[in-house]
Order: sequence, then C-alpha cells, then structure tokens
Amino acid sequence: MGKGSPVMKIHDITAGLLSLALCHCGVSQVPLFTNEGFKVPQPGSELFFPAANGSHPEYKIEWWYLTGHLYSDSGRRFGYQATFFRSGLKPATSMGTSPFGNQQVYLAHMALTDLENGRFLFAERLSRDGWDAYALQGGLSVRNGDWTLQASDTDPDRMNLGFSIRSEAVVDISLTPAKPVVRFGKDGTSRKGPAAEARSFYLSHTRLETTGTIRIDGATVDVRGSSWMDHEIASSQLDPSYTGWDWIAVQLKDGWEVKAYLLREADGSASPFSALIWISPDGDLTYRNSNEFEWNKGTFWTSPKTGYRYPNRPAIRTRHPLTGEPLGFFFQPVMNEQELALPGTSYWEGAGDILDTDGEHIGSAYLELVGYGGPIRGLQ
Amino acid sequence: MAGCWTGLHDMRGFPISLFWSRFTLRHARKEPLQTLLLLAILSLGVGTFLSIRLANRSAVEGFRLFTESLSGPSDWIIETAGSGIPIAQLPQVRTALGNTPADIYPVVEMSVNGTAVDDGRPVSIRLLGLDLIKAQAAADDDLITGFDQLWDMLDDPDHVFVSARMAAILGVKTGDSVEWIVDGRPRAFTIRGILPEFRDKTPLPANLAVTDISAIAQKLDLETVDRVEIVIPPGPMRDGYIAVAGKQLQQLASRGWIVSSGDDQQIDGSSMTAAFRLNLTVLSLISLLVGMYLIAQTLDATVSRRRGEIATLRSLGLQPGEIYRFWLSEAVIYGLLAGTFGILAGLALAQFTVEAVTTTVRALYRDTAESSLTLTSMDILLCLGLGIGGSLVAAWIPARDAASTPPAQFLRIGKRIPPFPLFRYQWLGWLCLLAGSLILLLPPLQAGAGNQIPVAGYTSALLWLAGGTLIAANLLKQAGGLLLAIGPGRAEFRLAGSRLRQPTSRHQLALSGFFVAIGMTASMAYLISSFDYTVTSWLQQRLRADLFVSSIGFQGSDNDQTMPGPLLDQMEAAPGVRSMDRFASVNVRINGVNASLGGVKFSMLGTDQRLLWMNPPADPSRAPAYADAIAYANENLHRKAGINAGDTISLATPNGTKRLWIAGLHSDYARDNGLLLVDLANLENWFGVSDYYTASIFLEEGFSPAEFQQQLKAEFPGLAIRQNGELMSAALFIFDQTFAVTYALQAIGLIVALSGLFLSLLSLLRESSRELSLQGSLGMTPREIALSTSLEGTGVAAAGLLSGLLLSTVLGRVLIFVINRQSFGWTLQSAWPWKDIATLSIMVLGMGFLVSYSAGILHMRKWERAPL
Repeated sequence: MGKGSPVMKIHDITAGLLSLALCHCGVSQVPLFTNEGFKVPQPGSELFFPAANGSHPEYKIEWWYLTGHLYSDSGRRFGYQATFFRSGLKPATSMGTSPFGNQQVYLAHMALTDLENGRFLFAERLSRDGWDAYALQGGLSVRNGDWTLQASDTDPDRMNLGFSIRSEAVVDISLTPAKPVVRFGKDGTSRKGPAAEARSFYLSHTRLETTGTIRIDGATVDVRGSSWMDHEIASSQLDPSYTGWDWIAVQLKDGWEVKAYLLREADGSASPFSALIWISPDGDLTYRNSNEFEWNKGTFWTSPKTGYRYPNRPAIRTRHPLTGEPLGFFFQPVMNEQELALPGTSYWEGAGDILDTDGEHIGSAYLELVGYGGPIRGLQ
Repeated sequence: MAGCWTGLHDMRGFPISLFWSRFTLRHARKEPLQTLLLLAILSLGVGTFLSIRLANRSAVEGFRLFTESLSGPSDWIIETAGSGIPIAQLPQVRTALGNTPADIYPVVEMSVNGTAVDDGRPVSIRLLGLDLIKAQAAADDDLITGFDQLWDMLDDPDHVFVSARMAAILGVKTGDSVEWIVDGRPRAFTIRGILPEFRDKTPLPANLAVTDISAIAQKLDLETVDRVEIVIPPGPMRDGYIAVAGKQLQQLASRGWIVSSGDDQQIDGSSMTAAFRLNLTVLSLISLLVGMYLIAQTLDATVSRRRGEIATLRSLGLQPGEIYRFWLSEAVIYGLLAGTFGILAGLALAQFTVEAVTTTVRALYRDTAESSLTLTSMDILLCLGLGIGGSLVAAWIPARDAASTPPAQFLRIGKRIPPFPLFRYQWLGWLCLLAGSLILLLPPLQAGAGNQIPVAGYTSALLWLAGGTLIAANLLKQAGGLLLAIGPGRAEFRLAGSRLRQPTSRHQLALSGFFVAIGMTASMAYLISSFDYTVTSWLQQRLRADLFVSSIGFQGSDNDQTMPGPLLDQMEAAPGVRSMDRFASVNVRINGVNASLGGVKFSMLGTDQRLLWMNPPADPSRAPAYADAIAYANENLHRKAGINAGDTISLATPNGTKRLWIAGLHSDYARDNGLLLVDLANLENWFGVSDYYTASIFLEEGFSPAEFQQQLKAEFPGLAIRQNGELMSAALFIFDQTFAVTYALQAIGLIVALSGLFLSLLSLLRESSRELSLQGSLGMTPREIALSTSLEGTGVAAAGLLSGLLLSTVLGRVLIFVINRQSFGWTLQSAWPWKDIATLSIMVLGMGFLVSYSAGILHMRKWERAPL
C-alpha cells in the first residue's frame, strides 16, 4: 500500500476491496502465494461448508456483500446494501489473537433506500481486527461494531443481518437460501485480470428469502423480500489499467438470475474479462463472455452532491441459455439518489426494476457503478 | 444673550454629545494622567474579574474527558471504582447494547512524567491510549498531524503524539526518542507527531499525549482499560437510543461497573469545585468594588470642578434631569472604555491565573486537562456590563448631587464639596452590621452531591463591607484630631488635621476604598495563616516515616500517578526496612456524595502512623457483629455525607456490598472531598487494588535515611523518594501554589486602593488651589505643602488601615469558620497573621505617605508653572 493521508488510506482500502475482479479465464502456472505472502486461490481447490462461509485470513481480501429488495405489508418498498470487507495488512493464519489487532482491518458500507420518502441513507465504518470487529473462521460470523452478519444458531443455512445507519435506521433481517449456493469459475476460481494471481473464490447466494424489521422514523416496520449475497475471497486487486466497473445482480420473476459485470479499460472499452452469467432455477450456470453480451449505458444521471455522472439506466442484451434466442432487458432505478458519496471514492449502488423490451416488469436488480467519479484510488 | 439662548435651544437637540465635547472631553484632555489612571484602575478591576472567570471556566472544562477533544463527547461512560475494565470483558459491553447503534471506545488514560528541557523539573503528561484507527475513521480529516504514518506505526509500541505546548516544554520534536516515567518506571517513547492546538474549534488539552491503545496495552502489558466511552451516532432517533443504551448498560452495574453519562463527569467536576471557584470570583471583584469607589470619587471631583458650568447650565434653563443624564452618560463612557480595556487586561492576566487555578484544582481535586483560553461573546458582554454597570452605580450619587443642587448653592458653597449625605447615616451602617450578623445564622445553599455554597457567609461579608464603609468614614475626624494632637505647632500637621476633621466626600470615598481593600486583604491573610498553621500541624502529625515514596509526578489528589505493588514489595524487602505503609484509594459514592475510599495499614495506626483525630476513635472491638470492617471518615465526609462516628454504612464493591462501622472521625487537609479510610487489605480484596499512590518507609535503628534514600533513588529512578523534611517542604510548596491566585488578587486590590488615594489627593489639591496659593503667600514652601498633603493622605490610609483591620478580624473569622468550613468541609485552627499584618500596615502607611507626597509634589510643580 502506498503512503498518503489516513483518509486517503481508508478510501484506498475501499477502492481496493471494491475492485476485486470477477473473471474466470484459464491460466496455468498459478503462484501459491503473492509477493506479500498471502495465498492465491488455486484452481480445483475444494471448499467445505459451512467453514467456507467464514473468514479466510490466509487470503488478503475478502467480502460478504448483500443487496436486497424488501416490502412491508402495506407495500412500502426498501432496498438495502450491506457490505463487510476484510483486508489483511499482513499474512495471518488465525484470527482474533489480539483485542486490539493490527493484522486485519474491516471496512463496511451500509445503505438503505426508502422509496416512500425518497431517502437514501448510507454509512461507512472502518475498524481494526479485535474485540469489536472480526470475521471468524469455521462458519459465518462477521462483526464490525454493531453491524453483524452471522449464521443462525438454530438453522445453519439461515443468516442474520443487523445494521444501523447512524440513529436514522436500524435493520434487523433474517435470510434463508431459496436456492443452493453457486461457485463461479469453471475451474473453481473467478478471474479478474490477466495476471495469474488475479483470481478469487467467488460464492453467491443468488436468492435469499428475507424477513425482518426496519426501525425508521421512530416506528418499526415488518418487511419481507428477496436478497442476494456474494462472498469473495482473493489476494489480488483489479488490473491497474481498469478505470472502473459496472456490475448488476438480477433476480427475474421466472426463477432465473443474471450476474453481469463490465470491467472498463482506460479507453472506455470493455475488458475481455467482463462477463455475464445466467443462474438457472436449479442453480446451473451458463457463462457469456464479453463478446456474447452487450451493455448499453443508456442515459446518465448527474449527482447533485458530487457532480459525478452515472449511467444508471443500462440496457443489457444477450442470448437466453435455454432457447438461445436474443433477449434484452433494462434496469430502471427505483430512484436516482442512491449514490454513496464518500470522501474518497464515491460510487452508485442502488435498487431498481428490470423491464423487458416491452416495458413489462420482469424482475428486480441491484446495480453498482464504480469509477465514474474520477480515478479510483488504490488502482493506480 | 439672545444668541446664547438660541444656542441652548439648538443644544437641546443633541445635549449629550455637546456636553461630552465641550465639557467631558475638555476636562479629560486637561487631566490626562488622572483620566488614564482612572481608566487603568477600572480596567484592572474588570480584567481581574475576567481573568478569574476564564481560569474558572478552564478548570471546569478540564473536567471534561480528555478524549472529548479527539473523539467528541460521549453519551455514556463505563468505569470501575478500582482496577479498571478487563479487556477480555469488552465484548460484553457490545452484547449488553444488542443492536442499538453505538460506537464503543475503550480508553486507557494515565499520568506519566517527562522532564522539562529548561530546568529538568518533572512535567506531568496525560497519556491517552485510544483506538486511533476507529477515531480517525470517525473523523472528517486527519486527526493528528503526522498521522499519515498510522498504518506503519501500528507495529511500533513506542509511538506517541504530544501537544505542541508539551513538546516545547519537553524540548522534543517529531522523530525524537524520549524516556518518560510510567508507573514509577522509565519507559522509552518515540515522538511521531505533534498534536494541533485546536481540533475543529475544540481546544486540545495542553498536557495531552496520545498513543494507539494497542501500542500502550502491548507496551505496558495491560489487561484492563480505564474506561469505556459510548457514543450514540446522530439521527432523529438518537435521544431514544441514548436512553435505551443507558438502560441496557445498567445490567453491567452488577459487575461493579459504574455507568454514568458524559454530562455527569463535567457536572461532578463543576459542583465539586463550585465553592472554590466562587471564592475566587468574589475575591476577584474586590478590585472592581474598590474601583467603583474611585469612579464615585472621580465623578464627585468632576462635579466639584465643573460646578460653575453646572450653575451656568442650570441658570440657562437646563433641567436637573438633563444634567443627571449628562453625568450618567459620562459614567457610561468610562465604563465602556474600562470594559474594553478590561477585556484586554483580563486576557493578559489570564495567562497567569489559568495556570495557577489549574494547579490548585489539580492539587485539591483531581487531574484536569489544561484548556486553551477562549473568550466568548458572553465574556465580552459581561465585562462591558460590569464596567458600565459599576460606573453607573458609582456615578449615581455624584450625578444626583450635580442635578439636584440649586445653582445659587453651587456658587455659594465655594470650592469645597460637603461630605456625601449618605455618610451621615451611621445608623444605616450599624443596621447593615446587625443584618449581616443575623444572616450568618442561615444554613448554606446545597449545590448537589453534598457540596455547599456559603451564600449567607458572602451576604454577611457584603453587608459588613457596606455598613462598615459608612461607619468607618467617621474615623477621618479622629485621624484629623490625632494629627492636630501630634503636631500642634507645625503648620503641615495643622493644615492636614483640619482638612481631615472636615472631610470632603473624596476623603470619605478614598477611605472607603482602603477600608474594603484592607479589610478583604487582611481577612484573606488571616484565613491563609490559619490554613498554614493547621496544615503544618497536621503534616507534623501525619509525616512520621523516615522516607516517603511516590511516583515522580504524584501531586496528591487523583492524578493516577501510582506505583505497582511488586515494585513496592521489592522495596519493602530491602535490608534495613522495618515496616512500610502504603496508601491506595478508589472512587466511591457514599450517601450520594463522591468520595474516596482509601486504604492504609490499620495495624500501624497508633504506633508508626497517626491520624489527626477530631474526637478520640472508638475501640474497634465495639464494632457491631454485622459489620464487615471498621472505617474512619474524614471531616469532609462527615459534613457533606452526614456520616458520624458510630454509624454503619453500606458500600457497593466488586466483591459485593460491605457494611462498614465508622469508628472515628479524622481531620484531613490533603483533599477537598470525602475520604473514608479502611484497612489496606480490605481495599485490596474488595477492589482488586494492586497499585498505590504513596508508601511510607520506617527504617531499622542505625540505618541512615539519607543513605537509604540515595540507594533507593539509584535503584528506582522513576520514583520520588523524599525524607521527612523534604516532603514537608514539598507539601507546603503545593500549599503555596494553591494560594498563588489569592496572593495576586490581594496585591491587585491594594494597588487599586493606593491608586485611588493618589487620585483623590490630586483632585483635592486641585480644588484647594486657592488655599495653596494663600499658604504659599504666607511663606510655606512647596515641600512643606507636599508634606502637609502626605500627612493628609497618610491619615486617610491610616484610618482605612485601622478600620480595615478591624473588619478583617470579624470577616476573617467568617471566612475561617463559616465560608471555608461550608465550602471545603475543613475546620481550621485560628492563627492571626501578625507578621503579615505588620508588613501590610507598614506598607500601606509607607506607600500612602509616598503616594500622597508624590501627589503633593506633582501638583505643586504644576501649580508653580500655572498663573495664580
């Protein structure tokens, strides 16, 4: 890590963690360790559950990334994002050895979209490894202050997520997988760039039935809906030539999901490591490489806070994995103001609806747009 | 004439501005020295008040948590009475809070000692161990200059940041390696950056040093933190969550943890020091009070000098009410200028008073942050209000006289102004004295947590000052008679004596200034002398050991400068040590009063160690069977918490509730809060105490304390090891420090009184120009005339001195037996300060003579130059 102000450092970590690539091209001669001494995800490695849901401190970077669409009984709609990052400052083989540790730092971003009131609340937190921030090995148990993501004591498949955004909102929800976990990458690792070590273990719960409460405006609202969770483990960041990425997680009404990401080169073109993946109702994966789908950015929205312009109404065209027929859909944000305007690296991440080419509502999605606010610190 | 009449009509449109330009300013220009001196005195009065106000505020702000300047104010604070919160149990705080939004900051805070670069004296530094990653992440900008190395320094347990002021005192800069004394042992640190003076708009404590909590925990092998601070983040539900968190945290109280709100900390500090600060504020108003007499005197003189003009104005049709307003407007201008200059003077004086008050508060109460000076808009308004209000009150009587005296009478009464009518009402003075005496019977005002404000005592003092002023004015005639009796054949004596026998209002006001200044100064000297005598007696009783051991920075009270038990064990095992007593204490609440629970070895009481008993202690065997232990309460606890010998009290400890039987009451002048002494073993067991503030060493016969002291010093360089006499000197040095502000305020009051005398004599001489001319014509030399003036001035000073000393004998007793006892819970033995009073008397009379002589000479020189 380079030197800079601590504020910059925090955002270097943000950007670094956000910038893990999501590609899956086969390359031989994968090194066992990075230069810093962290392990590199090896093709063909087996992952064992529920331990795989927990922390892997022998790898430098790891995150648990949840997004979801929630509704109250009266139809009030919310979107949420909960991201727990772990970043190793030095290679470690075990966690939690010191109450005030200096081997790991934990960054977290939480956001809540309150469509009824047109509010977008978000918060960031950075903590050292120790008594109040940790990610345990052996099973899912992640904490960053009062923000927690843990496997249920009674049902190992179920997860409990709790987070607050200052004293403005407190979210307490339970997530139960409706489909089996999927692991991306044909060889068990997901590639994120041309370098051999630029790969990750990439696991996703693409449909999680969600119930719980949101306390907001002094009242507690019962909610239910559907969430998506990614868990990614790696030791290398994005290629420095990338200027950002567009990422989307689509849950279609017919039981299919689509994950797509566009890694952007400096000249604006899509990196060959960009990809689109279909997930069938049974959890089967169909990969589309960068030549097999189109990501049209559509119109741009200009943030009144930062002045950055985000293409938050993209249109995606590809072929359906079953029929092979061309298929197109649009992302329509539930509201524009879903920008996490952070002091260093701002990005847009928000809930939206998926419409087909006839304008019919066919699903929901979360869209992430990074790198539209100038260079991303940590990539250079 | 018609033109004049027209002009007057025009003047009525802007009467005050014309009055200023044609009368006030003209006179001010003619008498620049007097005008400036008057303004200087008033400014000094306002400035003194402001400096004490700033110092008091600084002392109270110092009770805010040191962390507040870095991580913001906390909503809840968890502490323990004794050994701290185990780091291993920190997750239980989070568990208790559930999903309540809350940021939790464990804090390590301790006093350590560095060495001043200029004279090598030990310097107390407040070292704060914070989770810097978390604190930085919560901040909008760089928390600390040099913080960019945060990630690199996480592995360096020696890193530390210091305040700019501390860096200057220690003579260190970024990159330097230093050795500080921590818990009695030298420890190496590396300066990694300098803290800014301000963070946002919050001044950082000047004696602050900061390190990452991980580093300090690792370096000192800590298993506990001193406290845990909890911050509920902002938002519309914040107040609700603060309340929820408070309830959730209460479940931790069963562990013996103390949960309090952030405001409680400052309120405790504020109410604890309320009496002390009020004492200083009252004292700081002396010079302003004396200054008010001077304003009255100056405006009275102005009325005298301008009476021809007043008569003319009245003859030309100006109404008494307009003249009254003219004079009051002049007082407003004086007050406004004095208030403005007073603010500047106050800021300058505060450089001294803040440090002096902080030192006192540290010695008497507990360690505080040294805050930077900040002047608020309220300070400015208050100073201007005091300047203007004081001037208006003082100007009221002269202005009324100017307005109400008929023009013919102005012209008829000639040069001399009669005494104020008010001074004729002696019965009013006696009534004030009587009322003051009766008010003394009223109880003090309760300020919460057992603290008392002696409102009745102050009111009595004020009434006695006012009443005494009216009565003392009559002493001038006696002083004049005395001068006539001393030198019946000398013209100087006869002239001075006859003038004093027919005193003007200026004489009376000058005397009043002296009366107040000397009365207050001498009564404070009486209090200090009694305190000195009592404390010295107490120290002689308490300091019986051959050697006394403490950490180098230990200055009494509660500054966390402790010594670890194993280090003392090692010392106790040294050959030649016959026995060792140790003192440790923890903070507790007894009957709602914040107090200390101290531990000493009871087995040594009555043999090696002694307490100064208020009443002989009861035999411990008389303790009831249900009592867990016996205890001795100090007088402060007895008065504030209502604890008496023979009572049984319940005390919550981490090892359960203990019942203590109070076997006796003792006097203790080391602290201004309650102290309950129990056997050291009990304190250690109940609170897990293993660190000690002080230790007393008794040597075997034949061992030289001096040699043993040298041996221990070489072996334990981080400890202060003093012999009996040295500790006595050190204790008395702290005692002197605590009164440093008082001495300064006394001096300022006296300076103002002497300046007043100078001013009043100058104006009297000016008004007596015709008489002086006549005396010159009759053959008196300027020197003889000046001598006559000096005798007159000395007469005023002597009358003021005598009446002031009389006042001080009763006022002093009120200070000692009412105000001091109610404020601090101490009973002092009365000791009249003969030496100080003699010095004061000689100085006042001598200075009075010199100042009066100077006024005479100055006037005569001016008079010689001017045509008669």
